[in-house]
Amino acid sequence: MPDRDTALDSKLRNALDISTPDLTPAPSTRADIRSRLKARGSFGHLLGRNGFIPAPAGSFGAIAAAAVLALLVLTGPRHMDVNSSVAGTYVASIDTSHSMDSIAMNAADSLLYHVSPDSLGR
Amino acid sequence: MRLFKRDLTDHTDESLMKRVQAGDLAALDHLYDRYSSRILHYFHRMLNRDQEKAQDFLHDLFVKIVERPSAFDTRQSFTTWIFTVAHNMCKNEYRRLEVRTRETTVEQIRLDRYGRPDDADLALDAKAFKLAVLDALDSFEPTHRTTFLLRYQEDLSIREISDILECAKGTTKSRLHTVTKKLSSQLQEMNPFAKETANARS
Repeated sequence: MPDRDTALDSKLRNALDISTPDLTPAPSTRADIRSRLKARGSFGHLLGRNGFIPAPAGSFGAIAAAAVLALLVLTGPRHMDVNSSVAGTYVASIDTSHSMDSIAMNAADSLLYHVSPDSLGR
Repeated sequence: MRLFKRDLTDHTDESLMKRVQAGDLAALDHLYDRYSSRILHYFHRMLNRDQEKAQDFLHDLFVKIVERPSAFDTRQSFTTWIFTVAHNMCKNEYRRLEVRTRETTVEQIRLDRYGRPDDADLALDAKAFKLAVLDALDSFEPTHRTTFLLRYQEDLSIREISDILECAKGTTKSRLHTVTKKLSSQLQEMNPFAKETANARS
């Protein structure tokens, strides 16, 4: 506010006062900017905006990228990075039984079973 | 769904803008409520009271805010920033209009829009005075017009106006002086305080 308001100053302020507005913003403006802000938060928009995927492929690319991410989450570091003392016991016990079974089974049916160092030497 | 609507009325413009940057819709609503009417009037008065264009400009400005909220540095004053953007948009529009060789005088625009003034209607009341001020404003050059609006419509300080228009405080003061002097002479008939003003300023 000015230090010294003259009568003209206050009259001009009144003339330009917008507390009783001459015009109001179009309702469509608010609706549009709201929807733009909502869209801005979407994954596809972020990818498209960063030029990661060109516009027509934007949504398809977003799905593909999401699928890759999901795969990474399911098969990635979470499963590898485990407590070794607990995981070791667990994995070893399963692996041992399976591998032993499969070796025993495969060995019995396999032709290789019949190959011995003697037969190779011949 | 949210059970309780957050009350953001106490938040500063800058903190609301921070939330908009994070995609907060409620914060955007608050900012819009605070500024849309002010900015719309600013555009309307800067753009020769072209309502359609003013609405378009308001829309474009808020789209800029939403699309690139990071353009605003939250350590800055939001008021100064938003009026700087609005001012630059007007400047670009003036430049665009200069390119177009349209020989329409301000008087012609006025007559087209309002028709010929009826003397009986121009009574010495607030409404007529307001119309006269806005008419006079249309004849000012853009820098003077924006200085005047930022001061008398927006009540911004000399410093804020100088920041928006990127000029020295002295320049803003001198522009304001020139504008009010011009206005008071143009509005002499409508302004019973003309003499008082002249005395106060001398």
